[in-house]
Amino acid sequence: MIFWTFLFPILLATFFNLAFANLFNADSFSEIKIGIIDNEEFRENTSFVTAIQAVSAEKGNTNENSLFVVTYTSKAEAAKLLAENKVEGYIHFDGGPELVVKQSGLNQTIIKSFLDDYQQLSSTITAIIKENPAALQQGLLANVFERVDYLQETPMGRGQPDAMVIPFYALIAMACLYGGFFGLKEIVALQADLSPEGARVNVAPIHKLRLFTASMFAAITVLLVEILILLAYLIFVLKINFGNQFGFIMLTSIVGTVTGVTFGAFIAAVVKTGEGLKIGIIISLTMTMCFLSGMMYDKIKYIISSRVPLLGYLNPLNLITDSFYALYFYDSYGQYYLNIGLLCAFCIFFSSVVYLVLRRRTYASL
Amino acid sequence: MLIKVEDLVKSYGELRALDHFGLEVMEGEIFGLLGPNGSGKTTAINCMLALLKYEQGLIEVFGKPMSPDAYELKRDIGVVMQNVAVFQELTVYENIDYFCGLYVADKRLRKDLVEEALAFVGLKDFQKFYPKKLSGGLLRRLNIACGIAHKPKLLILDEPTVAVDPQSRNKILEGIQKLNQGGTTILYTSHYMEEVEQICTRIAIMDKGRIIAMGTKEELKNMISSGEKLTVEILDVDDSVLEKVKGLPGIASVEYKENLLVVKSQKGKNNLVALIDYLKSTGIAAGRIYSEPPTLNDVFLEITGRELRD
Amino acid sequence: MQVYKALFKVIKKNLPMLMIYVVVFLFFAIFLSNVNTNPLEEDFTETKVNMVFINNDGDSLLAAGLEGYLGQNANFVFIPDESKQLQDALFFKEVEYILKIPKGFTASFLAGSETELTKAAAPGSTSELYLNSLINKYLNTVRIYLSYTANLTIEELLARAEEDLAQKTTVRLEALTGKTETTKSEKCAYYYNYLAYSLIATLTLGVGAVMVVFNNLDLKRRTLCSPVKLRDLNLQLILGNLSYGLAAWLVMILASIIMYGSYMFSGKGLLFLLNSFIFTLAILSLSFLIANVIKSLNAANAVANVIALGSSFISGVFVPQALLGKTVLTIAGFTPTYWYVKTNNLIAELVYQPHDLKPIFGNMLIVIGFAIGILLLTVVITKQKRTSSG
Repeated sequence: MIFWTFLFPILLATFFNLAFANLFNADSFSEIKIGIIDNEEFRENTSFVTAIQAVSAEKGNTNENSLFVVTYTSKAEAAKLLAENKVEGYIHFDGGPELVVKQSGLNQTIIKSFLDDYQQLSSTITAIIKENPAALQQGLLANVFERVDYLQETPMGRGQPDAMVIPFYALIAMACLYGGFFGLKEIVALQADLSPEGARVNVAPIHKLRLFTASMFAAITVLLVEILILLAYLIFVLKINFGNQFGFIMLTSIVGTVTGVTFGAFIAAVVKTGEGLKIGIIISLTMTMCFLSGMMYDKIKYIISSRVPLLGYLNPLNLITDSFYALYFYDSYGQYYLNIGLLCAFCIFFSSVVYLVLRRRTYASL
Repeated sequence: MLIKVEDLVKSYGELRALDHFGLEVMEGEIFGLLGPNGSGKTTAINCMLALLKYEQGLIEVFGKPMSPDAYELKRDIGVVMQNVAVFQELTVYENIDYFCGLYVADKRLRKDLVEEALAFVGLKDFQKFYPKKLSGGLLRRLNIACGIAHKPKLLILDEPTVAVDPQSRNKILEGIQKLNQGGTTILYTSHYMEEVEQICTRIAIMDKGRIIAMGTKEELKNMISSGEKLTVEILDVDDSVLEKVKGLPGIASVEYKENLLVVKSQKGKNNLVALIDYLKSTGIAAGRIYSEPPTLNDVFLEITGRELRD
Repeated sequence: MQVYKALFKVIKKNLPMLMIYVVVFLFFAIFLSNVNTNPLEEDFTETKVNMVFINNDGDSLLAAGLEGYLGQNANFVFIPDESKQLQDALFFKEVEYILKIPKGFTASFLAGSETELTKAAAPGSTSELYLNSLINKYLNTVRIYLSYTANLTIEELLARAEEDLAQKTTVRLEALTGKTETTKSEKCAYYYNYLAYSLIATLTLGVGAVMVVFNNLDLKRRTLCSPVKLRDLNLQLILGNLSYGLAAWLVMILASIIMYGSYMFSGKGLLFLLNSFIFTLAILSLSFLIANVIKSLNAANAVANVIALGSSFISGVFVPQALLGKTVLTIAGFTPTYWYVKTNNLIAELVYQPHDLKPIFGNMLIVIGFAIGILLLTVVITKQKRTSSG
């Protein structure tokens, strides 16, 4: 049980961290291999030759501006290189540059953007020189290459919208719902037909509700401690940004924990088959909810919130994830309270069903 | 001779589980291996079945050396292990069929055998049940059915009645005797002396990895010095009477506790008659009187100085 | 074949649990491979990004020009300039980019000062980088015209700039295969990459569940008492697990055959099938190894999930390999999953040339190597266990 609610999330978080660490890191960029068909039109276009040389790396000698590693070659050879995946694309001058690629992808887009930029700039330069022949002497070229950044990032909320944090938030939510194992265990221990402890408990003159509440509290406390350690690991070791509203983060953890434990109790009370299947159901339901909350693939979350928003609100794991994200992102609390409110509704629903099942049950066979 | 074990030594690290152990089981016997828990019975059985390696010794079954590859020998052995070994995922019927199928390939024949075994252990009504739903006694019976379905010539049962209610136990014991009458030789281990006494034709008593005594139960009881034991209910006895009783001929020991006078006689007949005569002559009012013949426990006690059951 | 049959009864008893995994995972794979348009390709296929364009600068020609230019590459969503509503839009990703033109921007821009626009977006996303570059390109071009041409009106100037920016490089997609086939290959690669996850989970769990039963000491000893040869016993167990693995594989490829039809029997489709088949063998032997070290069904469940999710994450099942760091990929190289995914990607971009096939078969050999290596390791471990428990 400790495994699912604690070790497993920590392991997964570490894997996530490994997988995402390099995702948007420019260091991972390596030069793109391209081919250029070395024909007359290319050689006469001296400005392009200069431009391409400025951004190409010599073999074994790269600089920070280099985008490409260029092979100058014949047409037939270029086609062959492309077919063999030795280059990502080749440039062919035949009445203007043409890019030949085999597929679309990030690298191909970069080559195309470079060519677009080159053509657009040369068009601008030609037009200006026509208008103002002295422009070249006035430092036109230098000015053209000195781009001004007109954009300033202003966060719309408390934090930047950041898809990176969602898998980690979903991970905590997952740990909460795996806390369902604790709930499951408590219910099995309370039901006479499921365990000898249950049979004993059933003949004891104590009200079921009191027993149920007491055991739930015990389970919640244990789970909460685990969740907090997990949070600490994410925040302090993996440096995941949770914002800094300590109180609300605690509240979310507590509500998430209660949801998880009552969820497990609910499954245990409602599903009549053996413990193995109950555990299987908890695991697979949780995994499905993880997936729908964007743990494996963050876009799913948005596909759901735009196409079937109801599904998002019916998924407690998604609600926990969103609570954390709302805290991190919004500077107001509307969305947060909505999520927490829905979670509380889930808790009450789960507990009521569990209580009804527990109270009514007399046993046909033990 | 169906089983012959000589000079068997097996250790678990420092602990010597079998210490020059040896026995012989004849065809048609119910051979009982009796010993307290931890005396090495199961280890001995496991060695005989070539499940465990041993340091030295000789084991022959059906007159041939037993080894892990002695598949022809294994074909005629039936085994009922101390721990119930059945598949939780298979029904009662499927379990018996599985184990029977390890020995008997023919499907038709097997069907009859399984049905017979089911009837034999009285699990016919439960054949579609999964083991989880069976009570302890029924589970033991299933365990036995799995071991006997293929009609082995030699059946080895290792404590088949542990934690079984008296009713199931009697059924199991009766069944074993019935199998024996049908020609199966049986090696039976237990730490319940009553069981062994009840069904076994020959008994070996085991302690600390060795055989300390072997023979029929009469032979075993003759080995020891004490005879019958007489218990008399008497309200009040003073020491002088006790002294007198001790002085009577053929009396080995006298004890008085909680209104019970326990007198053990020496071997021989009529030893206790003198006691009763004496009590009558003194006019002491005696309540109930019980007389017990010596038990295997007494045998064990006299050889080892300890009770069989601790 | 008693053992073989009993093995399937054990599987049957565990089937509800295994089926949950198979069904859920199949759903994942089918859903994802159909929903997923490769995020790397948004630019090329010119998917329009949803954005909010807020102009607080009144009737500015410059702002209108920028809006018109961006309109060619983005869909405008109207959302009032109010914090909560804009936040909601970003939160639920109704829009991916918000651009605000502040009051007085045009005037100060024309006066030559470097005034800034405010934007909000998910940092580092492809759509953010794309829109950033479009906006800056537009404004910079206008700036150049502004500095070097004196006698143009603003309208003329903007028209010139737009004319320049309309220049586009012609791109020829030299694919020997048709367009539909290419998208099918990509979808199929996605499907087969996700298959890695499902396959690892169902196989480790299934084989684990079976072997926990058969490795139970009491049952094992009881079976060893029978005249069934040890070699036969092991053979039946291996055969049983192999059959189970193949059955699981068949169920999973069946869905791909239903979805992609005859494509699955084209050259590429067959390569995908072959690759996944070899991967199944490797995972089977891995499952066998795991099954021989664990003690309970719960442990099987735990290990199945860690290995399935963990190796999938670092090997590029969920996050494309191209986006993973070099260190991660080096670590991932020690798992068969990495090579399997790599091969799927190679198959997807394959053009038929004999030397193209070489790395594909090379990778398959590596996966086979894994299968054999892990199997040998299992044999060594079980041997050691047997002698030490003697």
